[in-house]
Amino acid sequence: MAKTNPGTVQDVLFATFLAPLVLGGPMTLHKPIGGATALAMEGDRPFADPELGSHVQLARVRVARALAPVDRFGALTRHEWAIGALLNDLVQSTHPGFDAILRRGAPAKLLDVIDATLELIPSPESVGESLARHTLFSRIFEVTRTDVSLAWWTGKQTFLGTDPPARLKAWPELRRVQETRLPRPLVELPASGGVVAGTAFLATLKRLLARTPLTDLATLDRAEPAFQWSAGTLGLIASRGGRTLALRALALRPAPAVDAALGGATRLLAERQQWQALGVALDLLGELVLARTVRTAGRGGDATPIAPDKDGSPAGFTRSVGAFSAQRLIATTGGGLGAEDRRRVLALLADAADSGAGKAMSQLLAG
Amino acid sequence: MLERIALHQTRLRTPGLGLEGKGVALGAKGLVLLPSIDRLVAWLSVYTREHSLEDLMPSMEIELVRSKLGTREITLSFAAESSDRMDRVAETARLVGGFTFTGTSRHFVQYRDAGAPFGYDATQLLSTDLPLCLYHDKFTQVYEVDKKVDLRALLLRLMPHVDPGTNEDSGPRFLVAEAGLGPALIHYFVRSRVEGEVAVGEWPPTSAFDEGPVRRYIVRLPELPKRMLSLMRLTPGITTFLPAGPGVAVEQGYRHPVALRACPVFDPNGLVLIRGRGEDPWTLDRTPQMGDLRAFARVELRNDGRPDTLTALATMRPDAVRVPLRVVPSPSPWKNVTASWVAPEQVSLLRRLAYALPHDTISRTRIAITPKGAFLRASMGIEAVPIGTFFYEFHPSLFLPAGYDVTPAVAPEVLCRALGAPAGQVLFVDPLARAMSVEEAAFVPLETVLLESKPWEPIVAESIERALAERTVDLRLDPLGAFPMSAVQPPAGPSGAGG
Repeated sequence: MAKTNPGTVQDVLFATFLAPLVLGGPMTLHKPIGGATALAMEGDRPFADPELGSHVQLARVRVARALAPVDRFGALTRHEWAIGALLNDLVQSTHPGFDAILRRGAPAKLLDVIDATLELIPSPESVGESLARHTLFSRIFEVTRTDVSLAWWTGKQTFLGTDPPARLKAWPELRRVQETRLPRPLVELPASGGVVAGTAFLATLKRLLARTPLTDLATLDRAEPAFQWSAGTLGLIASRGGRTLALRALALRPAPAVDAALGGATRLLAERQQWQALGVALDLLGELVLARTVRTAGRGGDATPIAPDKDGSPAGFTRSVGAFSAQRLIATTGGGLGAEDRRRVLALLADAADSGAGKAMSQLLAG
Repeated sequence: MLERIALHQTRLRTPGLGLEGKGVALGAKGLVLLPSIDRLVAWLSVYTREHSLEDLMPSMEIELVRSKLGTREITLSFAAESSDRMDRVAETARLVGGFTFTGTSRHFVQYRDAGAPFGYDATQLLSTDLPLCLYHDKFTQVYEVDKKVDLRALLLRLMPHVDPGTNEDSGPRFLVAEAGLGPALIHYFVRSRVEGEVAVGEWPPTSAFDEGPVRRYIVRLPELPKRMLSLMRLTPGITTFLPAGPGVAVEQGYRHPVALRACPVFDPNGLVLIRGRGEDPWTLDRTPQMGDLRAFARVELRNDGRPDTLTALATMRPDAVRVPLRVVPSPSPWKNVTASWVAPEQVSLLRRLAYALPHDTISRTRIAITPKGAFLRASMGIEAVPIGTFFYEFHPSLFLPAGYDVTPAVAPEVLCRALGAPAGQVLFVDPLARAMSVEEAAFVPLETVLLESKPWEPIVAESIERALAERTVDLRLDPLGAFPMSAVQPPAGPSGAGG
């Protein structure tokens, strides 16, 4: 078997897969790359198409600017190349072409290779690296395959991710051709013509997201895979800068969905009694609710208190635990507020902190 | 004895006579020789119709003089100062049959006339010790001073002329009522809602047989209703006086021969009431303390055994007497105009105007943007922003349109309470009596609004543009080929998957 040249793969992968992932537009997949080639990819490799490369770098800066005042990014590191190659393989595992004799086991094997390779890729070492990875993979859940159902007077056929041949669409009126285009998001691809197991696909996708934790947090309101705290995300928010980036990313998402996702994930930490991780998550929840309360308090007489947790929902969990954590934050650091503002903010937090999980947390800490 | 002064003549023989700037011979004094006292009164009457005696008074002296032949005449001397003043005096004197002279101490020559536009000079001076030598082209006469005549005393001695025309005059007036009539007159005025002030004046007894000073009520009215004019004029014991100048008034129906307003001889703090029919004037050295008429209204205490206070049985009942608020134009001048309402269609004009406003105005002005337009407030005055409807501060949280007032004329606190504005709300009542409420917290410095508006719009526009320009990630599938997994190798390392 001929040995694959990683550099060649990188050039093609960038042009057909990574650049469209950042810039948008038609995206085609590289033939499955495999873990060995992914890890062998060269970091800081000059782009084969400099113009396309500069467009991608510009788009990355634009994504980053929503979270931090970054002016430029360097060339892709070897870990970023590797994650890109593994994402290509992950999407490739949903290819309908595997639905054939002697090929149906290939997607599972491919997922195994991806999982094994991800184990060898470390989490970001710095907040800047998290941001850099996020700028590459921030649109991961926007990857959409357009499936076309074509029906004509004597039959019908579905084309998954490909355009029907022109001959089938010829004389549309005479042959009564009906074309239906249906966009399929990434997480629906296993069930749309693919043979890969959906749960295995989502598990691998979750592992891949753990390697780009800021993307994981910035897309936490997704339907699947449900957000869960990972070592990567907890490591990110454990630092002051990472927590700031995470809060900014969360502020761009709808508040109810953010509350629900964070509540579900944090409650899981409590149920598993992962206290250290829970403490880190509570800091984020506290700052999130405190920032929201300070904004509300700025409205003066129209300020409404944070809603208490009445139904035990994940969103209520976030509000009550976050309010409790915000109270502790104000008590220990002052929250950067003056005396009068502290009084107003604490009044707005009181109801939520004294309800549901926040109350339980308070009693737990009081012994 | 006299010769005309020629043009460009510089030397004069009469001592104390000089040439003023126009070349007219003029001494330090002017003098009017009048044949009798009635001529003097005529001179005063004519002169004061057009001019005030105020500038003449400091130097004016009226003297009764006697010639060697024993004839008595009147002289009126004053500081000449200028030929203009002398011309005025001479014209009046000519009209009443008097002669005008000018000089400095003793020798007075005839003042200029049409025959000698530069005046006259005496060619030969009389040698005499008498205090006054008058040189006229028709006579030369010496006089000695018999006595001085006091102008104030003269004016008071003059009997006013009957003038029925003053009976219908309007304006302020004094009513003097005998002591017995005073209280009844005051209550009549109070009942009739006539505003005024009242004092009690005291005059020394007219006769040694009187027991004490004579007291009379003096009522000062800014305006007497017409229906009362004849009543006040015809009621015995009540005398009506019309002010004729500061500190002096003349009885209604009479007119003083001299315009007293031009004669500043009466003390403004005193009061001289000149009566007709030859009666002595009533004089008060100082105007007595005057009090509001309403303070003298009759006071009655009820004594019917009812409790002192009444307890309301219910509130909000008197709907029957409630009337809707009306905003009506007011003739009073604008003041305290500190707010403005800019209608929505004028807000764009305000934006353009902002470029022309000075810094002080921008920093002092506060603005609240509402769906009904922009409300501006500036404690130092809002006129510097010349658009919108101006409002003045009727109450700290209530503004009325400038030039308007509310009716019924209730107190600001009452109106504010009636409108039921909660604390923290600022009410604007427009000319149609519609109240608009703006939250106090909604007012922000105009400066802030102007500065904040700049970075907003481009960012919104940019984000919209970016969102529209962003392409979707469209996955296209190519065939897998014959050996799709040929390149897939597990990673090397201890955790590498087998296969």
